[in-house]
Amino acid sequence: MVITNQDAVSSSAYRQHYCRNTGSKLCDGSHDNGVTVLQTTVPTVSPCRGDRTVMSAIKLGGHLGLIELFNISSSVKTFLGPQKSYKFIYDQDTQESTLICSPFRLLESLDLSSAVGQLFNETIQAHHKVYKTGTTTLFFLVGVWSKAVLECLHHGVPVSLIVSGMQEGLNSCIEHVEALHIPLYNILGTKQNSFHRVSVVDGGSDNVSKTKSSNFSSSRDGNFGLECLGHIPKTLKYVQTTPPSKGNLHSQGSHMNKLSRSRHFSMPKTSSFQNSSQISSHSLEDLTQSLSHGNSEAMELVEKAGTLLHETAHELFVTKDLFQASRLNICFLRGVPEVISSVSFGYVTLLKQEYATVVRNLEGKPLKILLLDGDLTEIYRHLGFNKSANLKSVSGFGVNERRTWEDTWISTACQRIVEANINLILVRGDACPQLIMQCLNQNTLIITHVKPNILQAFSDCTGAEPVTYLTQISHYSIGCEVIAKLCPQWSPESSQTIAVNFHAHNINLVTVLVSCRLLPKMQIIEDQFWACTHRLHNALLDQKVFPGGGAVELFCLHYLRKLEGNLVNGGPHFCTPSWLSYSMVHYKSSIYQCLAKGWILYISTLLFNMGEYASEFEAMTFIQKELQNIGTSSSPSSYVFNEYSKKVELIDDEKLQMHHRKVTVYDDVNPKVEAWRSALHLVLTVLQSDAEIITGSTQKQVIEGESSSGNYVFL
Amino acid sequence: MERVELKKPSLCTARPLTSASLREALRVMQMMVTSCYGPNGRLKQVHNGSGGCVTTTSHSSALLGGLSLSHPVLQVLVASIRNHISTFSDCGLFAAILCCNLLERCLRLPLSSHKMIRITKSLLDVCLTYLKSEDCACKVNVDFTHSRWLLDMTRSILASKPACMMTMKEVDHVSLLIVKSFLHKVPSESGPDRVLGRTLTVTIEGPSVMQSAFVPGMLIEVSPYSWSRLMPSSGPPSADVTLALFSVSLCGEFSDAGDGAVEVMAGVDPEKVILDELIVLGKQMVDDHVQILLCQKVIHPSLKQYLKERGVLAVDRIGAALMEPLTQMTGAQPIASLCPAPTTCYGRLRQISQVSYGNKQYLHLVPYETAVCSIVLCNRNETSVKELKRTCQTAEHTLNLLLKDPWLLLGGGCTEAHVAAYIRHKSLSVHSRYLKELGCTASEYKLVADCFCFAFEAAARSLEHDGGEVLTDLQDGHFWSVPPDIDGEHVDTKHVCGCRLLNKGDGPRWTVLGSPYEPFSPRNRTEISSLLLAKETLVLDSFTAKCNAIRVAVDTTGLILDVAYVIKDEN
Repeated sequence: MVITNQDAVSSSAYRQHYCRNTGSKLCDGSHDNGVTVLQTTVPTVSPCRGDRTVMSAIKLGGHLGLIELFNISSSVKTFLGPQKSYKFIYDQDTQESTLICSPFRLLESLDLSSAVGQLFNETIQAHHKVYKTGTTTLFFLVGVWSKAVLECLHHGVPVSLIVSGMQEGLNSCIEHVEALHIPLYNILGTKQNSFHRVSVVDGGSDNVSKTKSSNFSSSRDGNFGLECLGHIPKTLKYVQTTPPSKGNLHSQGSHMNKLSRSRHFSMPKTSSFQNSSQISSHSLEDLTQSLSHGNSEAMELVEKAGTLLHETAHELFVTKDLFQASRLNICFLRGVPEVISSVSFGYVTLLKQEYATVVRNLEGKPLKILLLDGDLTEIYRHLGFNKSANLKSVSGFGVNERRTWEDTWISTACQRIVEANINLILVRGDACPQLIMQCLNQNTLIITHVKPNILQAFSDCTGAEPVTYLTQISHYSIGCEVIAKLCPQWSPESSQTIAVNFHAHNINLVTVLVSCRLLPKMQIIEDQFWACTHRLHNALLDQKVFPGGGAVELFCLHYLRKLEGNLVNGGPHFCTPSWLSYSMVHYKSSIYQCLAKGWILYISTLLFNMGEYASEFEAMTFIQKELQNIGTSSSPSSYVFNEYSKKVELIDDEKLQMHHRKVTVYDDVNPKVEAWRSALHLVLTVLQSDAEIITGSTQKQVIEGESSSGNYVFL
Repeated sequence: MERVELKKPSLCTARPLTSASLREALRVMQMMVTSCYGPNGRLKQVHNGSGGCVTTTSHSSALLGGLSLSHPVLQVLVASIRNHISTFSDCGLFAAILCCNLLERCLRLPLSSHKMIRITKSLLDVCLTYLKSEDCACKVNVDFTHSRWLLDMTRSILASKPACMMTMKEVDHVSLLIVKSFLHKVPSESGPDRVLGRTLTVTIEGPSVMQSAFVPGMLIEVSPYSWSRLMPSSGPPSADVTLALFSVSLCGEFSDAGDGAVEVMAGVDPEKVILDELIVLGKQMVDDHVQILLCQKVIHPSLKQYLKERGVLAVDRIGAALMEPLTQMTGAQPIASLCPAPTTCYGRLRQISQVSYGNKQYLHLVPYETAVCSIVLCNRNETSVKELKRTCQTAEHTLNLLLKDPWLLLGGGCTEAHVAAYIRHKSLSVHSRYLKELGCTASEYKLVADCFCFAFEAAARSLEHDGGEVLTDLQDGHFWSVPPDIDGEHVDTKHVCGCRLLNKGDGPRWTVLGSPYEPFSPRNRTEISSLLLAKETLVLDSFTAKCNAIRVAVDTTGLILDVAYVIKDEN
């Protein structure tokens, strides 16, 4: 694989280049503790004589792992921020190339077979699995923190101290940035107002006062929004009708509790102020645009889908359940010249032209649906079933047995389907083509490769239980009242396929139709769509957001600087007493600087990518200036709030000019914080690893080849 | 025509211990285990070099378990350590370090190996007799009326594995869970049929360690989409649930006929025949009012559907690991055939509910018995979850050992330093008759004893990885960690010793651990017992595991010293 982007480097050449670099670096930096100890105390054993078959090799890597991490992650730099540059990945083996624009896709194309590469992959996958967003941050921070830690090592800070110091620093930063949490209910109609409310809340203030002011502002701003902005949808309704006074906060809290419980199954978790999290739909729009991070088109679709899901609801509550990614489906209309992007209820899929007549026949009629959780073929058996190999069928006329079996199966299957009067079968896996054709003749549609969440959605709304075999058909497994409709946006004349919408009463599934003129961009659009979906999903799940555009990182930098200013030997850092605990205070400032370096590079790259500054250096100067400003401000958190709501608006202004709207950038809370934690976790794990043990002898030759460089010893 | 190949003659190597390659390999081994030791130890990335899974660890079982070795002497060494780990879980690295150090020093002595073996054996006796005696000043009697020592020991074990990447707060949290589960599974009354319960571990990667939890009963993971397919319309059975447990596969496949072929008449569908059998079995379950059916293997979807329609919750693929705990927890007998089972096979559960941890969904089986409980362990990525699981299992095992032998040793290197001080003092005055029995002179005995003590001190010194200095006091012989280039006079007043028992004020003089010092008699148990009671938290090690580790290390050294020839079959 070769990655070509602005930096124009091939990944393998890249690594070689760096490895050579580090080789010399390690020789120069002989004051580096970890490396020299190992290299001087352990003379290399010459590789084995011919006949040994089983052995273990130990690679004494020093801190090569950190350098490798830095190299891997440096390729993600251009993905940071709202204006991403695409990367073109060319596979030399297959001559295929793909266009990518997300770190997750980049990861698929990187060679991560080394030990550190595997750890890296594992970490990113774990994060992606849970949050589906924030991987760029994780990807980038791994690199910059690795580099910072290497510098820290060169200053002679003991490894164990870096580990506990950085962990401690990050934890206290994360605690501190809680002051920057913006509860979702504060993002109401006019955000300026709510910002001023929140900016009163400082990190020092206790929970009760936070609750007070938040509750108060939410109600006030809510009404304010109602009065000032005339375009409130008719569905909008506030639970809270009278503004609470500060005095009876507790009674208010319990009152709200009751109200929301009566309307909802799911209860917000703990504190009472979370219950007042109802906002109008126009504020959902604000929230989505703030979370779009440069993909405003994709986010618009997500938002449309979100509003559509709640079209029928009389009231709209921004609860955790408001919006779930599993209720969305995306369908691409390829090669359409005009821009179509629409959102509709139900499941939209593309079918071959042969289906058109059947679909027209079925259009508008209530259909009976069967959901199949497997393949619809003769040979398919449920998972875990092993077909006995030595079963022999004895029959008088054993001519072309296989053929007859399959034919019998098809005719029985067809008969079953007709008898049950089924018009539509959604199959999770594959289906036998002859059966599909036979069923088409009987006016029955079989649609294959349907995603599990779609099966689930149809199961939820029609009550049909998915089955594995056709023999299981019973009245429990057949759903009724599904309506098929040809999509008007997609004219059958222009293409070989037709788009059909399947809809059922009360279905909570929305399909987003996206036309795509540039086929290579399809994957990117889809990735962006899901990224936006999950960003919104996570924000609603957390019920809070961060101010975006580097505000949180800047705040952390300020806090670290403050910590550096008054160093104290905090509590015990280690479970077992060690001199390290007592010496911590001497090294703390370099450790904090190391932590800060990661964020400084993050913000400067972000600002540079956004085009605000001509170089990263200029961006760094800006950061220093901002840090001074925050330092002199009486309330750092309110300074960050106020400045960053203004500042980021300016940046987004030119992007969103067509909308004539100013939008503040927000960011998810948990995915961001967890990305920080995971990144540091990985860097520190690699920092603490001093050797690689290769067991077995499968690659002995390779190892022997490399061992001439003196990195390997054999056991 | 067959080709006959001549057998190669076996290769015999005399005096294998003198070879440079073995010494080198021993040094590598020593360096490897030493660098992993203790809470500040370094990690190793173990993999097979051809794209296999990478294990990042400093845990002896994972480290030595994956190792393949070329030299027979190293194989002996690693095999005996692995054997120790498999029985005691803890102190594997300590045993390896002690053994490597002892071996290295003994090989340098100008004595015959038999003499060395005899003397080390006698020193081992001295050492173990002391550790087991009432006078021993480095052990603590566990008081089960208080969770303090249990928590201290668990904390020491958890903190000693840096790959878990836990902060102090997280270590405390997990220790609490483990001690809780330990107390939970110890039967409240004694009796002949009372057995120790068991703890099951469920790991989740992603969430932070603080979200780890203790759950009585058992958790079975269920994927989110199968929930609605699993649950009968009446919901999960609420209270006093009858349970059937199947170890036989209910997936409806024709049983394996071995090598022979089964002939079936055309028109007979064997799969359908078996499915009919299964449905009969299902009918029996429904008639017997079974509310939940658990199957180790796969259940046929048709049978599942049949059961669900009749309000029976059917869960398959629970795996072999959960079968025994389920039997213990519910009293159910695993049913191993499709024949009608007697109703005595069924077990009972108090309750079934649905819980979620992280982003996973679980079926929670709550038993009447408290014997089985689960710990949900969370950590950020697979590497740290795995290491956390290994470490927690070690802690759990070590707690179990306490029931047999309710003693703990002072940790943090103090026991090793103290034992070395004791043996140095003891070996000064060995009776000449005893020396005659051993067949050695006093100076020879002193040489080996010094080796023995150096090996212990080296094991203690292995706890330091960042260039600091290690001192020992000349009163109790404890372990003191100080910054590099600081002598005993300038020790900070805040200092405590490795196990937290002593403060600076308690010890008068220090010397560098491992340097020669005038032997002294360490204070005995009665003199320090008041200190033991006063201390809030201590760093503690398992007594049983450490004693055995010492024995294994010394015995293995003896065994290796005794190797005169290596005979290798070349074929």
